[in-house]
Amino acid sequence: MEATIEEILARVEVPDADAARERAVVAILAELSAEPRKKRRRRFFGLMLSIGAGTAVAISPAGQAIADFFTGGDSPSELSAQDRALTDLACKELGAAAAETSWCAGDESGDGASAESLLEDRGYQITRVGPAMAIRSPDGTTLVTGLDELDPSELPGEIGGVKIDQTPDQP
Amino acid sequence: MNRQMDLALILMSVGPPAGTMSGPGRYMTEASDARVIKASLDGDQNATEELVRRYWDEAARAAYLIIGDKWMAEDAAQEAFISALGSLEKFDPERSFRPWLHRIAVNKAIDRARQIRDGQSLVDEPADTTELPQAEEDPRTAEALNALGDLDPEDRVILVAKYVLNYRAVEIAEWLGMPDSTVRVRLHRAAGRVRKIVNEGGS
Repeated sequence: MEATIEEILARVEVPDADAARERAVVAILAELSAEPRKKRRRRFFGLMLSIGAGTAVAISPAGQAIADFFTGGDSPSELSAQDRALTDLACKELGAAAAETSWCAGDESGDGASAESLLEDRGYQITRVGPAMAIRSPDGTTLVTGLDELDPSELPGEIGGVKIDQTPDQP
Repeated sequence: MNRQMDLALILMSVGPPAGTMSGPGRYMTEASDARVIKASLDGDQNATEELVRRYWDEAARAAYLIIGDKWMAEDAAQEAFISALGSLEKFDPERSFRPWLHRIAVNKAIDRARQIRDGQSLVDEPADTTELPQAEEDPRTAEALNALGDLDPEDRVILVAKYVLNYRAVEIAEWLGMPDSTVRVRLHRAAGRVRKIVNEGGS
């Protein structure tokens, strides 16, 4: 018996729908609360979050989260309760209890050093070009951030193995 | 009164129907969109989150059917919510939130689908999509997506708006800026084409 159009369309299952919804909640709320100049940094294959000045949380397509407090950004203690909650959520998604993870909640230095060290210890490869940064995770996905802080004429051809062929959106 | 308390009171004042499950999730589903939108406009982030949770699945599914790529669909749906929730003050509370959001989501999705069709690079597209972990796709999902991919993006939107989101031809026509008679004709042809591809196993 032939399938109707309704049946055909109803067969379609969105892969990982639950994880996508949770990523969306975090991403959308963070984007709506981000400072204008920090918007449009969702370059982690569709999901790069900015939380507070200079603070970013990225969630990989697989739902893995990394948090980094970038140079010059707020220290975690300066984050608003809202931003802190989002950061904690991202850290928990990584499988780490935020309170027990120095680079998630306990790093008061605000210089990002401990985050970078921890990521490198865990097998992440970090490449910097001026204010831009590429973080390649052990699973092969790459986060690129900071491109919006570069002059368009200074955009690198590639960073961390990721080709940069367009000027990122300007807020 | 803090903002969380505001939303909690709104939601609890509605309350669950007798004999149904209770708990925060249940209360959430019972608050009207208008009240949740009002709370969101008042700065209650819990209310904003509720709107995302309430409408995400439907919008993301529609975007996936229109675009055919999980990650781009997720991005398009996120952008739609950001656009809609970021301009809630422009929303007419006398109207329904659902079609307003869906119209935005469909427009985001159709832009992506057209870019893919035209071979344009996407700003948020990863440089190397081969590195993305790909979820295992159900064979029947792949079959349906392949059939949809044979259609123009506009025809995909018409099919999805009609058979997935359950809008009328006249509403779809308004979204796409075309006569509703045109929508009906394209709907008929597109549905026939997808059925033929799926039922006969090829184009």
